[in-house]
Amino acid sequence: MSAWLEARISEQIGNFQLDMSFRLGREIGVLFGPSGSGKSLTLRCLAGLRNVRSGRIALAGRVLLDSNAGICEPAHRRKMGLLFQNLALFPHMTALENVLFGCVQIEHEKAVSIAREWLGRVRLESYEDRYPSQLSGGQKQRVALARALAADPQMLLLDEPFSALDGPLRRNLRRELRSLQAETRIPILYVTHQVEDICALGDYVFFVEKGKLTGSERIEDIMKGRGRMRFWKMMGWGNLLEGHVRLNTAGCSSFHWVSGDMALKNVSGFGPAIAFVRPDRVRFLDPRMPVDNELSRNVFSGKIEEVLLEGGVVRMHVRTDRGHWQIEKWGTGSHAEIFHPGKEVRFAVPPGAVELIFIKESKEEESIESVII
Amino acid sequence: MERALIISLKVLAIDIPLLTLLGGGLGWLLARRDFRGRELLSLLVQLPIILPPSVLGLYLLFALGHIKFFREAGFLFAFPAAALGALVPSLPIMIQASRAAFAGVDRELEEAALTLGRGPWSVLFRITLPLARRTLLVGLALSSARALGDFGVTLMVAGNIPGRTQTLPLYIYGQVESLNFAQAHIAALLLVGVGIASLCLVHRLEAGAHERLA
Repeated sequence: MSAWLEARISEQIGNFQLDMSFRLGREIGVLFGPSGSGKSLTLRCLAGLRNVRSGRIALAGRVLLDSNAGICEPAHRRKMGLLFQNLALFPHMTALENVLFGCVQIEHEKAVSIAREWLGRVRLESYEDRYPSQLSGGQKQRVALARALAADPQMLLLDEPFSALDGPLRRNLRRELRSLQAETRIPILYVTHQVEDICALGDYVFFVEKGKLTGSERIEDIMKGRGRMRFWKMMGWGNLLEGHVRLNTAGCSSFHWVSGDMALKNVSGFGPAIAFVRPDRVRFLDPRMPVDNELSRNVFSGKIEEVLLEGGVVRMHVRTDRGHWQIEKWGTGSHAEIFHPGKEVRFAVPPGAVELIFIKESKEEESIESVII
Repeated sequence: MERALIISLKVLAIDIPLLTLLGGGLGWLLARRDFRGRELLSLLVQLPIILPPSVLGLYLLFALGHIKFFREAGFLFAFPAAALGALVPSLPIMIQASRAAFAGVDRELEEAALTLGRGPWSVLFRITLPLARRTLLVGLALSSARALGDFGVTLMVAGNIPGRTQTLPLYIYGQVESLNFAQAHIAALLLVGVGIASLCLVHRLEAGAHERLA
């Protein structure tokens, strides 16, 4: 991989230490890790929105930061577009004016035609006079994407821009982003803590935990099975289960693995698959309360083995009869008091929380055909 | 009364730009910059709101009298002192409003503008100021009305000299003293009119701001 971006960043905020070092070619890289692991901070450091204590960042042969040489390009000269989680569309400007804002140092008429062209590419040409408050969630995402690309960046940083969207819309936007990247060849660094984003978007995945890069893997290798075991190891976070998706006669699907089975929701395929369940999607159940019908097939019991309080998150490791689960709760010390090691707990995995990576293995070569629920 | 009205308008002509620059600048500094002594500065600039005008006037009087530059420039009991006397008690209103206005602008919008290749000045004029505009204008309307109506501080530092430092509020005082109530009422009505107009403007701006957010 010829490096388009080379970054080495060291930054400290209170007790949190960020130490990242990676290279990326003209492709899509995904920064994957749990909340609070430093993914968004890394993007802010790259974009120049945060002063970095020490490090070196080079993009397309330009040195943007070199703490030893005293070089630090300001954010507006870095040519690094950043798509924020809440999109940051300018509320006092129309969609066209928002996109136009990124066309700097271009003659006005030409800038307008570039902005219109970008709005056209994201299929919003007829919405150019609307203000952000008059656009739907998906339309806002498209305007933000068009605006970032119209600024002609040498790199695009995306901070979970699709996290607020539901399944189908999210998939569509991912597809569009993928095709825009293939068209423009603008490299993208995408932050996510959803495993489906890795497989659907990325060429390369970087695993981040507690401010450190714990590993990296080419998505193709994960898909072909070569890196799957490494992938398991590097994930370090979340519940990853290898098994089969089966369809019953009623057309409902379920996931079967060595330790049990659970119901799935809105799954069209079947066959060998990897299921991923984010620890924060697992729900504890009150033993005195009846269980919701939807959850009834996905209830498990176990004993808490370990409780870790990290920032605002309580991380728990729960041992069941034949397996091991990671569960997270947002909150403060009160959770740690309720959930202590040795406590017997009952928990459920909502069917909609199971993300699937379908595996299609042939005899000649292992390959994975497609992705995701 | 015309002379008092003209002096009041001249005071406003000087104080409005000063309120905009000083009040806006200090408000921005307090809202956006983290520096040592920020809270102390915040307290100090708010002090004129709670101090009685006579106390404020007394300190200003001594400051202007003791600082060589002001003394030699003949500030005291002259028009510049009238402008300064009206400015000092109204400045905190503008500072407070602009602090709230700048604090209310989402930092991510400014950061997004920077990553789109716009420099800090372009971000200030194209993003920050348009988004803070309504609250800034509310502050400017209220502080200007306060400056126009100042009585105590102006009297202490500029005196009540007709044609030189006598503003409309001082004119009313003078007319009441000489029992000329008709003239006092006309001048008072003028100030009440300006006050109501300012409040209507504030009301409209605030309603507009809520509409935009909805």
